[in-house]
Amino acid sequence: MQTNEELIITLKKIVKPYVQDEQAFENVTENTDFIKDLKVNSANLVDIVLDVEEAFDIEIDNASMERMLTVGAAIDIITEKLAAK
Amino acid sequence: MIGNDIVDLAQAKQESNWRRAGFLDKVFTAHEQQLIHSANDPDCMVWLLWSMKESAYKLVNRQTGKRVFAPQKLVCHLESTGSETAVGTVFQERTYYTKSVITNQYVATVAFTVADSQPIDQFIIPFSNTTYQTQHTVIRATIKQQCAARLSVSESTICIYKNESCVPIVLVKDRLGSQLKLPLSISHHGHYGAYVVELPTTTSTI
Repeated sequence: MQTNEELIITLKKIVKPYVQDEQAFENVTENTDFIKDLKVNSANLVDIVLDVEEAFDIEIDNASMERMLTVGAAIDIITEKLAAK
Repeated sequence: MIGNDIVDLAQAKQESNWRRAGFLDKVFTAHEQQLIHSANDPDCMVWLLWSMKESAYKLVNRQTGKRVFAPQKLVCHLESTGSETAVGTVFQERTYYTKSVITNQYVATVAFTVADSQPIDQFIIPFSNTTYQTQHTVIRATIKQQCAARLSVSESTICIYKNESCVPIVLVKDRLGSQLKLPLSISHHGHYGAYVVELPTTTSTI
C-alpha cells in the first residue's frame, strides 16, 4: 500500500507530460484544476484516467471519472479505489 | 446559446492515441464506436464526434454552470455528412444541434439550441505560434476587431470578459452607457483558434 506522498508523486509523474502550463504545475495544490489551471487538453484527461488505472491497477468507473477534474478529486478517487481492492 | 470546439488534426495525431486500450470505451457510446470503426477515415471521425461532444458540453456548461467530465453522456448522432461538412445532434437530457466544418487540417463544430436558428458563423484563426498565452491574446484581439466591423462600432467600445461562471462574453458599450452582452465561445488547439459570437438578431418588425 502506497503512502499518500507516494501516491501524489506517482500522480504528478502521470500528469506531467500532458501539462501545458508548467508554472501552474510547479505550484500544484489539491485545488489545481487539470483543464483550467494546468491547461491539459480534455482528450488528454482521458489519457490521465487510463494511465492512473494502469499505474494503480484500479478501474475508474464513469461516475468517478465525471468528477476527476482536480488533483484533489483524483487523489480521493485513487484512495477510494485502492481501499476497495 | 452556443458552444464551439476546434481540433487541429495534426496536433491531435501527435498528442492523442485514441487507439490505446480503453480510450474509446471511456469516451464513446457503442453507436459512436461503430461510426468510428466503419468510417473511411477513422481518425477524422473520432475528432468529429469529439468536437461535437465538446461544443455541446460548452453549451450545457453555459446553461447549468456545472462542470463534469462525462463524454459518454453526450450522445452523438450524425444526420448528414458531406466531404467538408457534417450536421448532427448531441443528446444530453435534451437535444442540441451541431454543424461541423471538416478540412484536411482541422474539424470545427458549433453547437446551438434551436434547430433552425439563423446560421451562426464560426471564424477560424490560424496561428503561427502554439503557446497558450500568445494564442489567448491574438484570438481576443481578432474577436474585438471582427466584432467591431460586423457591428459597425469602434473597437474601443468592445471588451471581452468572463462572467462569474467563467463563460466568455463580448461586451459592447455605447457612449450613453447602454450595454450589449453577446455570448461568445472560444476554442483553440494546435495551430488553430476558432470562435463564435451570437450577434443581436435583426428580426424585422411585423
